[in-house]
Amino acid sequence: MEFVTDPWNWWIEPFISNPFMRRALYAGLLAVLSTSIIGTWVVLRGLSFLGDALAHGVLPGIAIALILGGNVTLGALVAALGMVSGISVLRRYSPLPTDTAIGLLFVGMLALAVVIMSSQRGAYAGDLTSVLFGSITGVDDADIRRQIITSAVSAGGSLVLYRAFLVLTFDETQARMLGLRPRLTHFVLLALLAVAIVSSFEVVGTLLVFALLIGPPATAALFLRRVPLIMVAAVLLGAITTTIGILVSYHHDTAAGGTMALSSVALFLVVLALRVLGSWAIERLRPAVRRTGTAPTSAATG
Amino acid sequence: MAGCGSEDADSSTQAVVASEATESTTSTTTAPRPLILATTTIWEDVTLNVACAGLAEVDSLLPPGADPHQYEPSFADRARLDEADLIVANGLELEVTLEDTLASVETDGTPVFAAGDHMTTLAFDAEMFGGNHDEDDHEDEDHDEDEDHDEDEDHDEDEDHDEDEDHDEDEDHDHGDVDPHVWLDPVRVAQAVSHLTEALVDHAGLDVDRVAACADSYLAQLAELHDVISDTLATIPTERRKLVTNHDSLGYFADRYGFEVIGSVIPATTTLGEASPASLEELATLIEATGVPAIFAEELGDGAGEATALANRLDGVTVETLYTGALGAEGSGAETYLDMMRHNASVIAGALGGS
Repeated sequence: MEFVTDPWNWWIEPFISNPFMRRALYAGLLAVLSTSIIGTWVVLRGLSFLGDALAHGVLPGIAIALILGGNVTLGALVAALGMVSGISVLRRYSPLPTDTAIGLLFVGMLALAVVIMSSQRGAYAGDLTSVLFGSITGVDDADIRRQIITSAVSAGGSLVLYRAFLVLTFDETQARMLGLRPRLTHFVLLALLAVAIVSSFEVVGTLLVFALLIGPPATAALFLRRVPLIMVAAVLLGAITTTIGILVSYHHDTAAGGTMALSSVALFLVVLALRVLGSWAIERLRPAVRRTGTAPTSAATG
Repeated sequence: MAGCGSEDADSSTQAVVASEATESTTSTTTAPRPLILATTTIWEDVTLNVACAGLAEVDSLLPPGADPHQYEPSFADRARLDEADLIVANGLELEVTLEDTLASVETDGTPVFAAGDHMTTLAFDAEMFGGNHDEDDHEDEDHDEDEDHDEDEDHDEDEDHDEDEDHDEDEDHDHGDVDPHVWLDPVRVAQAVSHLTEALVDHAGLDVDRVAACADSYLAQLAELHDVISDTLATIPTERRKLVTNHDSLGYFADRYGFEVIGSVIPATTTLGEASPASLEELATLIEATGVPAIFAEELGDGAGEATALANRLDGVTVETLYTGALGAEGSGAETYLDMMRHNASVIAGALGGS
C-alpha cells in the first residue's frame, strides 16, 4: 500500500533518482503515442487479430536480418509490409472471411521464422528471444531518438488521414462514393500499423507492443463513443498503465516488459468490471429508468 | 531472489578460514562492502571465491535455475545493476536478453567484466553436427597453446581493453557463432580469473594482496579440478569418447578433455530452434553406428523431451542429466562450480563406461 501511504517515494522518487527509469518512461510513452492512436482504429475496426498477427509476423524478417547481419528494424518493416500486402491480396481473392487469411499468414510467418532459425545449426540465435521481450530496462538515447521519428510518422499519419479512416471504419460504401479508395486507405492504415509496431518492438518487445496497441484503446472504448475522445483517453490510459507497470516492476522485482503488458490488460478488466457494476447499480437504484446501450458515466470516473 | 543469493554467499563464507571471516565481518561495520553482481550462479561462485568469500558482497542477478538465454530483467534488477560496483558477466552473447541492459548499465557508469573476453574462444563447429572429426589427437596441442595465450594476453590486452569493449557491443552480432559455454572448461575459467582479480581491485576497490592470495588459492583448486576431471575421464576408453548432447553446450568441455561432440538433439540454442525429423533420424543413425550409450541433457529448461524420446527408441541409450547452465540446488551435489564440474565428470565417466 506504499503507493497510497508514501506516494512520493512510490510514484515520483524512482524517476528522479534513476536515469534508466526516466529513459524507460520516455520509451514507454513514445510507444503509447505511436500505438494507442493507430490502435484506436484497430479496435474500432475489429482488426485486433491482425495487429497480433503483424506483431509476430515481423519475426521472419528479423530472423533473416540477424543471419545476414543486416538492419533488424528494416528486416522487420519489410516483413510487416510484406504481410500487410499478403493479407490485402488474400482478402481480395479468397472467398473466406478475412480472419482466415490473417490466421494463415500469421502461422505461415511464425513457421517461416522457426524454419529459418532452426536451419542455422549451431549458430547462436537467441537474439530472437529478446525481440519478443524487448529491452525496456536497457533503453539508450539513440533508441529514444529513433522512436521519436517513427512515433511521429505513425501518430501523425493516423491524424492526417483521420477523416479517411473514420469513413472507412463506419461506412465503406460511403468511402467509395466519396472517392476515398477504401482498399488503398485500408492498406495505408495497415502500413502505418506496421510502422507503429516496428517503431516500438525493439525497445518494448512485440508482446508489449500488442498490449499497448489493444489495451488502452479498448479500455477507452468501454466508456467513450466519439473517436477523438477515445484516442485522447487511450493515450492517457496507456501513459498511466505504462507508468504503473514500470513502477510495479521496480518496487516488486517483476519482469519489466511482462509487467507493463499485464498492467495494460489489468486496467481494461478493472474498467470493464466498474462498468458492469455501474450499470447494475443504476438498474437496481432506478428500476424505472432503464438505461441501455451507452456506458453510464460512473464507469468513466473509475 | 536476493535472499537465495546471499544464502549461497553465507554458506560459502563458512567454508573460509574462521579468522578471515571474522575480519571481513568487522570491516562491514566500518564501511559497506562493495557489491559485485554476477549474471549467473556459476560466475557468482567463481567471483565469490576470488573475492575471498567475504571481501565483497557477491550476488547473482539471475535466480538459481533461471535460464540465461531467456531471463527478462525487472526494473529492480536494473537498479541493482546500477548500484553494483562491478558486474561479472559471461559475455559472448550468453545473456542475450540482458545485452542491451548491460550495455546501458555500462554507459551509466557500472563497469562490466565479461569473462568470455579474456579467454580463447571456439566457434560452434559446423562439422560437429553430424560430421566427423578427422583429427583425434589435436587435443594435446590445444592445451599448450591455451596456456601460452594466457601469459601473452596478460600483457597485450589489458591496456586497450576498455576501448575494446565499447566497440564490441556493436560488433557482437557479427560473430554470433562463438560458443558462449566457456565455463565448462576449468582451464578457461582459470584464464579469466587473473583478469577478474584486476577488475575486482580496480573497480570494486578490493585489497590487492588479499585478492591475489585468494585468486592463487582458487587457481590451485581449479588446477586440481582439472586434474581430477582428467583422471576421472581417463578411465573412458578412447573409442567411447563421443558425446551426444541435448543442447550444444559441451563444446569447450569436449575440446579440453578430448571428446568428440557427434551431435545434439536441438540444433540451435534458441527457444525457436526445433529439431527436424530428418536431423533426428540422422542423429539416431549416428548414435547406433557409433554405439554411444548416453545422451547428456541439461538440468535447465524442459527441452529434454525429445532427447528422452530418442533414447527410448534406441536400445541401451539413456538420458543423463548434467549441470551446465547454473549451479544445482541445495543437496544436489553441484552447489559450487568445483562440485558441479566434478559431478558432471563422474556422470559422464559413469555413462560412457569409465570407472
